Amino acid sequence: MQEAAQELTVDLAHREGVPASPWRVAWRRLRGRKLAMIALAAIALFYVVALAAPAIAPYDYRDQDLNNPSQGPAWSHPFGTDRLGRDQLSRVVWSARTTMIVTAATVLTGSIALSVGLGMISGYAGGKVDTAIMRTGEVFASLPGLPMLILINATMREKVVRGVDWLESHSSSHALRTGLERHSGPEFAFLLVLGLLVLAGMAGAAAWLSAGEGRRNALWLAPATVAALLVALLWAVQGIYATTGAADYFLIFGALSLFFWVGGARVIRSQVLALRETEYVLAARSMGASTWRILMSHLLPNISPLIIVGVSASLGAIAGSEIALTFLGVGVHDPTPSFGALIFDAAGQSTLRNYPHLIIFPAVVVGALIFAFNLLGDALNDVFTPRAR
Amino acid sequence: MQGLFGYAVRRLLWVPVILFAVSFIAFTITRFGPGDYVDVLAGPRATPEAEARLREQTGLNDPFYEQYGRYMKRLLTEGDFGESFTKYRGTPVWDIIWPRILVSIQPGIVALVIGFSVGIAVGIFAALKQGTWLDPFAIGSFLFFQSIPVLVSLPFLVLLFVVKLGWLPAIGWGGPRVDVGPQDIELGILSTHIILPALALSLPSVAGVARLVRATTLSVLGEDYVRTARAKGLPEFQVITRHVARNALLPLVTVLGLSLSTLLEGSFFVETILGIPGIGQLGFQAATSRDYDVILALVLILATAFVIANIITDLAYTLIDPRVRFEERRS
Repeated sequence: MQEAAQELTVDLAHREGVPASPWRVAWRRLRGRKLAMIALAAIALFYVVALAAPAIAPYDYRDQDLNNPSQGPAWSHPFGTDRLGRDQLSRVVWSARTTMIVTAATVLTGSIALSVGLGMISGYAGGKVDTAIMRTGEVFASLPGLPMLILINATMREKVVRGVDWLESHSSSHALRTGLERHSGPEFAFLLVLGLLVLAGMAGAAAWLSAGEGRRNALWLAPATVAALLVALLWAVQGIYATTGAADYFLIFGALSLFFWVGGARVIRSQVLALRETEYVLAARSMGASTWRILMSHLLPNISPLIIVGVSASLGAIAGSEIALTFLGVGVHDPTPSFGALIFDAAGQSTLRNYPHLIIFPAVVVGALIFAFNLLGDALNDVFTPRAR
Repeated sequence: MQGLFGYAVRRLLWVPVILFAVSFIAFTITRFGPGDYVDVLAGPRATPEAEARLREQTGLNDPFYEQYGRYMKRLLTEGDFGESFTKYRGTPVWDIIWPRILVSIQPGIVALVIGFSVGIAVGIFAALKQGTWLDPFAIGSFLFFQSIPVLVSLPFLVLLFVVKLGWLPAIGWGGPRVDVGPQDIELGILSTHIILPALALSLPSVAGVARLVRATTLSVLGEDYVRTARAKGLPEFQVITRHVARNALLPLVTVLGLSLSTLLEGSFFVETILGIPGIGQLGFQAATSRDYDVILALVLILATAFVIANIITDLAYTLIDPRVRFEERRS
């Protein structure tokens, strides 16, 4: 504790006159950790590659070079080709995209929306609501994760495929184009409203960021959150439909979110339980602040370090789960590439013996990514909860 | 111990409730999946009328909660998990599962023993070398193994030990055979086949144990009785084994439950890649062949095991550390 206090004073003395925000202090501490910064850089590189997959991959992930199946690394195919003559480098790059979509979507729905929302409600409301949420969480926590995910993905796939087909026929980029041509139609109006909302949300977020410490409150935060969700949705509508396997993504992140909220919700609930009794919440309430305002501008900023630590700790597990499910044949289906499928194809005994190059690249990328996630998670945990040292 | 007893009873009373909720969720999901018993039984050339008749006979037209009631009644009164309907058509599910549990337990136990003994050694070593580069190095290198999923590390182990060095047998499982229905399973007690799966399963658990042991050892090292032991001239080895280790290892009980689930998840990949006839491989086969009743039975059995293991862990925790009291805590 004393150590932390000393560090804080040193940090404060660093820039005289300018009060250091907790975020700046945390960032400065994080920057001091070389390993964490390397991990952060590796993760950033991974996501950049994933975002720019169409530009980076030398071939399409479906293109077959039938003259060179199962070829070792060569100039035309740096990582070699698989049994069907598909370029391994392109498949690795596109698999990164699959991992990116699943981790981003699961973090947004499971780790942030579900666990923060339910944790805060549970802690602040107390009583029956609290009991109901926590008991539900207990049931989910006692379900054996992997067999249950297998069960859900094996049984629900066709329903989700049908649902996504319906969505696609109503709101895809194709529907948007026809809507633009006709300058009418409910889809066009829907997307127009969506776009305007996103613009409003972006403006709100910008205003929130530029507003001073004291003036930030829920009114600015809400549109920013909505904007983030809508950007994700729009991007999903435009981006996911462009690739096959959209239904698989929805199914996987839906199923994963069900299982990844419990731990985070418990931590956040206990923190909210403690914060609820603090003087500043009492002061806010006595001045007539609404529950929403107390939750958003008094409690949320105080639990945000917990959220960041929780999210960073769960990222590795989420990425690993998608890969594991695909490996077991119930995740992303062919031809959509995923690391799970790449490893499964390469892990057979005879493939290992004859074409060891197929296992090396996907396995090294997956190992490095999850290791980097865990290193960053550990470092963030130390940075935000210095008492744990 | 009054509080502990009350806490134990309260926890145990919750077990059936949780298990009923779990079984209801899992059962409901299986009844809404594509393809059911009738599709397989009637075959692809059956007329719609024949299928409808069969559906009526097997009770698949009833609402799912009635089917759930029947299933649970059969399960609780006769211990009947139903029958497999694709891969091992007509075999009772329990007959498929029990020999496989025996198979899966073996590498699991060996992996637990390896993981805990290496973890304890590394943890104490790191604590004694605190302040030198050996401490972060020892913990960090096993942290690396913890981060790597089994399905990534295992192919490399196979590549090294089987393909390149040829030290270990390739795939499969040895030992006496058991005939159960259409299955023909090797029980594999004491064969070299166990080395590779046990190694792959134990690697990820070392770091967790080592970090916990390091933390507890560090706190014990500062205790007065350790200084007393040193002051009266005991050899360092004896101080570590008798005075430090004994007190530092108690909290390890709490990791046991956690390692159980890690082991189970790992066994899915280990058994699939190495062709070991355990429950992980069964789960994989059942998932790909849509044998829902088999997965359902697996989920129920594993959920029961988890819930019980969690309770034992919690109770052991209170018994070990008298500072943890449950009277005041809302369970």
